[in-house]
Amino acid sequence: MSEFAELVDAHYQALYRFGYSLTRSPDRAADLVQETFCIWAEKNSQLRDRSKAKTWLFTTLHREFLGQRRKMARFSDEPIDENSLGAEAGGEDDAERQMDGQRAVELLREMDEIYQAPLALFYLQQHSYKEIAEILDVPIGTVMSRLSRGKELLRKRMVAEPSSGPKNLVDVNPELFQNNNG
Amino acid sequence: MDKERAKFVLRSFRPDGADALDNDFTEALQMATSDRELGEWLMRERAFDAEFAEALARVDLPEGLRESVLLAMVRDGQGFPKVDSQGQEEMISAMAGIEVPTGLREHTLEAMERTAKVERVNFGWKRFGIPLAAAAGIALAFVFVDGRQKNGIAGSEQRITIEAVQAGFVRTFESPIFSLDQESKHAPNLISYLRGKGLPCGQGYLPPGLIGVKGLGCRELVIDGKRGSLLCFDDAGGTVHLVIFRRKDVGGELPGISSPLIEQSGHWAEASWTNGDYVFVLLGVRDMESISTFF
Repeated sequence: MSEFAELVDAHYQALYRFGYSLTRSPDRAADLVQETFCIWAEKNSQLRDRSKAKTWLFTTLHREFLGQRRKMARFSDEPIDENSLGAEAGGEDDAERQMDGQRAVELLREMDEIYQAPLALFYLQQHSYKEIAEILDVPIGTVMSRLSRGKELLRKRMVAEPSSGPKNLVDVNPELFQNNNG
Repeated sequence: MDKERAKFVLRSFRPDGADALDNDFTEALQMATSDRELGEWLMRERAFDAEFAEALARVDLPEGLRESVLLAMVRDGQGFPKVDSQGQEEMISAMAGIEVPTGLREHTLEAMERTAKVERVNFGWKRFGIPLAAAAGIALAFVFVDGRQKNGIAGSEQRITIEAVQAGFVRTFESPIFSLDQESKHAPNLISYLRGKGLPCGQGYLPPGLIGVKGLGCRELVIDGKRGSLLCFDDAGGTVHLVIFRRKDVGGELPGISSPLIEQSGHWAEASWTNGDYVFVLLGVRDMESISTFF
């Protein structure tokens, strides 16, 4: 298998999920992944340290996302892809589990924008907080603050809407705590 | 470091334990082991994180994404996969010598016109995903022919790779919060437990070298939304782990048990094979020669 195919196999799934959590659109996320690898193919000879490939790919996808969003803002009459969530869901037997994933993405998208990318990268578990800082081009302390604050807000949002959270998440329904307390 | 600072630091600690060796977390983690309230908070935090991460990993991929990425590279030229072995050169030469049926080109073009235009820009998955995946599968079958084809090509988008299974196990096992769902010295008890949970058991079929080896325990192993089983054994040479997934969930070709694919990945030796409807991976911290003695 070629080096390129190995690189694609190793990272395209996580890249897609990152792109999807940013755009909430299967088409746009797939486009971002494709574009990212095309840029890699054009520029990979410039990257001497191959161990940095993963971080490079995520950085590139994030920059592409920001660039596309800027263009969309500039041309506000451009149709925005509003594919409904769940449209690309897997088999019927997995529908319930898939809903959990979609809801997780929805919850991330409902967060303030500054928390979305750090939280998505954190929960994809592909990168340390230092690498997340590198990908997003922000100081390490900022990433730690955004993760800390973002996770706190995520929990609060789920407490506020307990029935809409992923089914398997730890139950944070305050009523349960009240019951436990007598 | 006070408790609030420790919580602040630990909120950046990944739920799979990948940061366990990062010195930046050492002090906060040590504090969590000695402070009960902080320890309990950390457990709740990590359980929440792990569940959320798992939910996020359940987002399905669009059909044909991998093939489309590779096809885009082939079309762009820059990323055209290089022939890197004599074997592949011979294979490609041999493929080039195959006579093409008369009219194939015209029929193909006609069929493509009927289905969809293949465009890279503004790629619409719902409209073009399947035809493009099919086209990509044909193109890539000529480009990526490889004796092992471990990652599969067309039609395997919804499957995980054997490498993902191996990496998923290592990530889970090396997590500081790794635990077993059921403990027993007797493998049949463990297999019964897994079967009762609806998890793949490989019909209880073990490699010859594992028969009679004392069991330790078992648990469910979820990788990219696919449910598998993990059985741990207390072998004389150290603990070994048998991972079992359903064949339909794992892409790529694998050998049978008589000649498993044996590889070394860091300090882990891995043997992979398939048997009927199941895929097996036996892993241990040892060398390849040692893992091969189980077969």
